[in-house]
Amino acid sequence: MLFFLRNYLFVIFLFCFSSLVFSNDKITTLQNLANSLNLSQAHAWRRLLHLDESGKSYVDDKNYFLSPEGKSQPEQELLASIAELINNPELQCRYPWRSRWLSENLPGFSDVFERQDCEEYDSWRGRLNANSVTLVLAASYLNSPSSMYGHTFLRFDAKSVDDQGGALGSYAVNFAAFIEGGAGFSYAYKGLFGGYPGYFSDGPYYKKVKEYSRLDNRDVWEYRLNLSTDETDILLAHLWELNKIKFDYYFFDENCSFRLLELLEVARDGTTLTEDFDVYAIPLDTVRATERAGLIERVVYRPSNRRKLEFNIALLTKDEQKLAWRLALEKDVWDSEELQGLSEKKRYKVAEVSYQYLRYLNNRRSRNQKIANHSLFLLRKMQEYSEYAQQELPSTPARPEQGHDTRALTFTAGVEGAAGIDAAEFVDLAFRSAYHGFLDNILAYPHSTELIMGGVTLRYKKDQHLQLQNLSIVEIASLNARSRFFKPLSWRVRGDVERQWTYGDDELVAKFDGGVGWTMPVFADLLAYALAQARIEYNPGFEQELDLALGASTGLLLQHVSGSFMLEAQQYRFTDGPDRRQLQISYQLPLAKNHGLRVQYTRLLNDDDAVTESSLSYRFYY
Amino acid sequence: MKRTIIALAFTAASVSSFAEAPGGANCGWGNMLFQGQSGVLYHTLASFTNGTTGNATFGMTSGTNGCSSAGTLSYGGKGMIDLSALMDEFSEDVARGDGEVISALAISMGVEAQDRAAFKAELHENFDAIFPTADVTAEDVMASIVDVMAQDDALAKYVS
Repeated sequence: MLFFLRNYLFVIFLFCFSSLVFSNDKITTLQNLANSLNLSQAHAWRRLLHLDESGKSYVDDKNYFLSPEGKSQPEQELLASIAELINNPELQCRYPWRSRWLSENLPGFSDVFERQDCEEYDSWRGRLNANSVTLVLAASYLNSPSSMYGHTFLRFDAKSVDDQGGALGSYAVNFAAFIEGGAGFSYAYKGLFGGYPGYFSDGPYYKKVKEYSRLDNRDVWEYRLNLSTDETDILLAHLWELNKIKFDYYFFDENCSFRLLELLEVARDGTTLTEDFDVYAIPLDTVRATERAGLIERVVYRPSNRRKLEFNIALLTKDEQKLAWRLALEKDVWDSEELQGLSEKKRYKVAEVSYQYLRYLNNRRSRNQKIANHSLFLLRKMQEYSEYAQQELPSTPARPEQGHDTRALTFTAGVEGAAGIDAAEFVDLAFRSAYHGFLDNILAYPHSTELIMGGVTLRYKKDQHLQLQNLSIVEIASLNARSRFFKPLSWRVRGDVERQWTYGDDELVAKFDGGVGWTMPVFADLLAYALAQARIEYNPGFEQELDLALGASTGLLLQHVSGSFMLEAQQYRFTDGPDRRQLQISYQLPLAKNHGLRVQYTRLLNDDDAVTESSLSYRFYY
Repeated sequence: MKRTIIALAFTAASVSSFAEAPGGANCGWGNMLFQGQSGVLYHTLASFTNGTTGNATFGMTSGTNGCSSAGTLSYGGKGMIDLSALMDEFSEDVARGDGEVISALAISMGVEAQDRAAFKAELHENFDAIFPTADVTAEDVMASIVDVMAQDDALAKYVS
């Protein structure tokens, strides 16, 4: 018995050994061949490893690499991949794209390795049932720091979606930071500046639609890509390799949008999309890069629930709007004389607006029996009058990528005059890294919001030296108008270093200010706003250098594709420093998508010292 | 077939309860009509990172990924729209007689293009049977839809 067993083991040993020798020989041959073909320098291999410009991989997970040096040595990773995929054929199921790529690019490789059945991978592919890929952009959302610039993810559609619709049933793949338990300030910090691991995940598209269209009320743009069936196959094969693989998540550069560009580079060999995004990747700009690379086939606009509601409200007269609003709060309004006096078609529309408004109000609230009953009541009215239903949808506005580019250079010439000082001519050169201010060309940008980050202005005054005029860190504002239906608060926050005339000198001061208030529509697109403000300022010209001020601002804002206008009066009273009042009038005329001409007049009063500045600037977006 | 669907629905609901209590912030199936969204904490966290608090993987088999993989029910091998996630929109579509969600449901149930108008019309006319009270759950709604379809000559074949 023992003898038999020993013999048996010996046979096994021999068998293993011989096959090992055979493979090792073959493996060495293939590795040499890969070296002589210089395969590790191939664009596709470098994209597969997600190498940055220095040749180091963005992947921050050793599980992704088959060689211990894989993160920084693509040659070693290639050699290790050849050996490991042959010695451990089951690895094909973890690395479907790597396996396929080697089979296609390393002659003899596919003869050696045994093709495996990959049940998990195949069932995932079956579930996605992908025939085409769509890049989805959820528009900018100021109320959420991570989404201020928008968000992108991919959707995979079955063939039937093209001719029959039903994209709600498709799958979406998202790259996001992964949060583990707890809560606190560190979440905000880590989310913005890194520290969270980022992973790809998948989920049904309708959940995304619910999140964006209903809960966040963000418009969604669907960019159908023209990837071929084979390119789609490559994309998914590679995506599978990234399942549970960690990338460090950074808000500014290595974010959701950047990772998607990398995937598209893998899918279409030879495309370079990521090279312009080494500092930061604004989702909108990544859509533009995709468009420039010729990847976009067509675009579908998906208005948010709020946008649809606004559109429906606008179809009603003022009196009907009032009825719809009252009906959303009070069932009995349905039986009122005014409402029953409407045509049946209008009764339907009032019920529809009322229902949509009630749901809008309760989007983020937990269930309430009374509201639920009321909602159903309104639905029944819609159903009753549904023969008059005509589902009209808002028309497609200008696409986000049709707006001005996100960086700006500004050349300004002007004259500045202060009490007791001769008027001085000056020229400014300003750079701004992102994104959109109230006066910038409004085409394709959201109205009534401002989001500016990272700006610097240099000023040269006649007969003086060059000086730093402004260093802007962040400037965010939302001046959305209130109406019967919508009651948003207006707000602004600003943090920067700027020149302030202080007792006869233009001091460089650091300040942070913010305000809260209301905006009301005046006429057509003209808005009026008023904000209560607070300010903290470090000013070397003050006796008490760090000073606090309370104040207010009020103004008018008109944004139109043919030109934008803003007038603002502002007052601050410092605890120790001066009483500061400022009036500013500005107008920008768009010359073309990426060009604008701006005039601005500012009058500043520090107690009784007056300073005025008038300027003309040319702004170039790029 | 009706029983199968309901059984599937409950299976999905119980599978999902591994990871998250039924009716939790991300777990849809089983919700009542007009459920509302009470995931304030989730939204606050997610707002800073585009983040996710669930398992960040490609949900493979039910059970491993809790609610996010149970979001679809298997119906004839195809994924089916989880109505509870879109009940507000779905009920509105049924009241109107048309819309994206009702179309998507028809497609996910395998209703052929030529029968979709009938599908929408039948559901629309039977609004009161499908939504008898504001307390119906997604399972109730699904069961009534199957009933309504079974009564219709053109649609019965999809649920038998």
